[in-house]
Amino acid sequence: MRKVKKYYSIFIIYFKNTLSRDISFRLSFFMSIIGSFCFVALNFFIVYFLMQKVSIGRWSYNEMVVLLGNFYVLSYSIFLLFWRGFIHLIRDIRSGTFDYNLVRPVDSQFLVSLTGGGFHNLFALIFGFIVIYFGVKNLQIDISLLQITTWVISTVLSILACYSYVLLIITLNFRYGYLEEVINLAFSSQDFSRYPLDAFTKLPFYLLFFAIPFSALTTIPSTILIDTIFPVKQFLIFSILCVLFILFVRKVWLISLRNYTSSG
Amino acid sequence: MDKTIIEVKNLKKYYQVYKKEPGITGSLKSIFNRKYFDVKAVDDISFKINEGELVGFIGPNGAGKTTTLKTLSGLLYPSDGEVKVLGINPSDRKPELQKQFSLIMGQKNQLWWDLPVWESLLLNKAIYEIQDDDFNKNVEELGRYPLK
Repeated sequence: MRKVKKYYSIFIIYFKNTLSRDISFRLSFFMSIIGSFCFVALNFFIVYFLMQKVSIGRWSYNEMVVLLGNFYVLSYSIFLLFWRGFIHLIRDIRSGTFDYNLVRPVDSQFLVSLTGGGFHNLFALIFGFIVIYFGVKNLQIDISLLQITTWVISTVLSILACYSYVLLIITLNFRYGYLEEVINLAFSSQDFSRYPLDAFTKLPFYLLFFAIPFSALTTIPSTILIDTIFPVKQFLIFSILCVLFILFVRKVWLISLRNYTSSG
Repeated sequence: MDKTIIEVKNLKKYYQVYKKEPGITGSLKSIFNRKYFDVKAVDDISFKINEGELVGFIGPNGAGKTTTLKTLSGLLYPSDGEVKVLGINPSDRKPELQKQFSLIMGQKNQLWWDLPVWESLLLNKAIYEIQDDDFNKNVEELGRYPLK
């Protein structure tokens, strides 16, 4: 309990400071919010017009809206909570500033992960929830408490799995020095989660290998909300795989720290 | 008998670096074929420091002084050898050890550059789990009003 309190205090200090720093650069803050909305609106219109003519797998228009909402929630949660920390991490590994995360009596993964939010993304995240709400409403589904609970669990696991994937790629910096572009690779891969699993059936196997895990990050939470029969098996397999992956990345992180050169 | 608090046995720290040939041709070649070699930052050193000893650690540039200190603090993982500080392997990065040492290196900022000083102090208070009374006493010495 004492440990939880300590980590909570550290998180709150960082949270307040990052928020006040973001707001103090007013113009940059407002422009970032506008940028987030432009990105969301553009994606939304693409789906809106395309779906009038094209069907994606077995997914109807409103089901795709729910999936798109889940994509925004996943994507913007990562931006909101972790993205700036990831960018700083790459820079800090190269410059040796990462030393200060390692000598302090706090978990280094915690310090680099939860201390670099980008709060302008909060509005886009809220927009994602609104998109999900309207998608579900248009489908005229009565959502049960079980569905809401399992949706929350699967969404949190999706966010943590996606975060772990980005962290896994960034750990290559410990071994191979400066790999600034890996952050773009991580970002591009995330785009697979914009489409449902059925959309990728005609892809060659090697692409499918990348597409399926990312697509599942939004397909499973969406399926939980829109399917009339609760997908117990998919939910359980998805949850177990996510937890195993998150633990695997934690292990890789700890091992990778051995390769840190402290800019030596 | 004096108590040994730092013990280093046959410590080695080697970095593997690649030799880049000059020019654009060298850069292109390095994409497909790289020649690596080891840089011996610390090569087989051993020493003991007892409790209460005041020790100066001197040597020319590139002798491995900073690398040794970074290994003692757990920043770097040794290539070979054994290191114990207060009976703990620093590479394990245990908080009980990390709370007991301070490491100041030149040319590096000890504070978080994007945090105001007061925020940095509060953050360190949380990280090192410093009690309110001790914290207040120290900030008063710095001429700052203590926490309410």
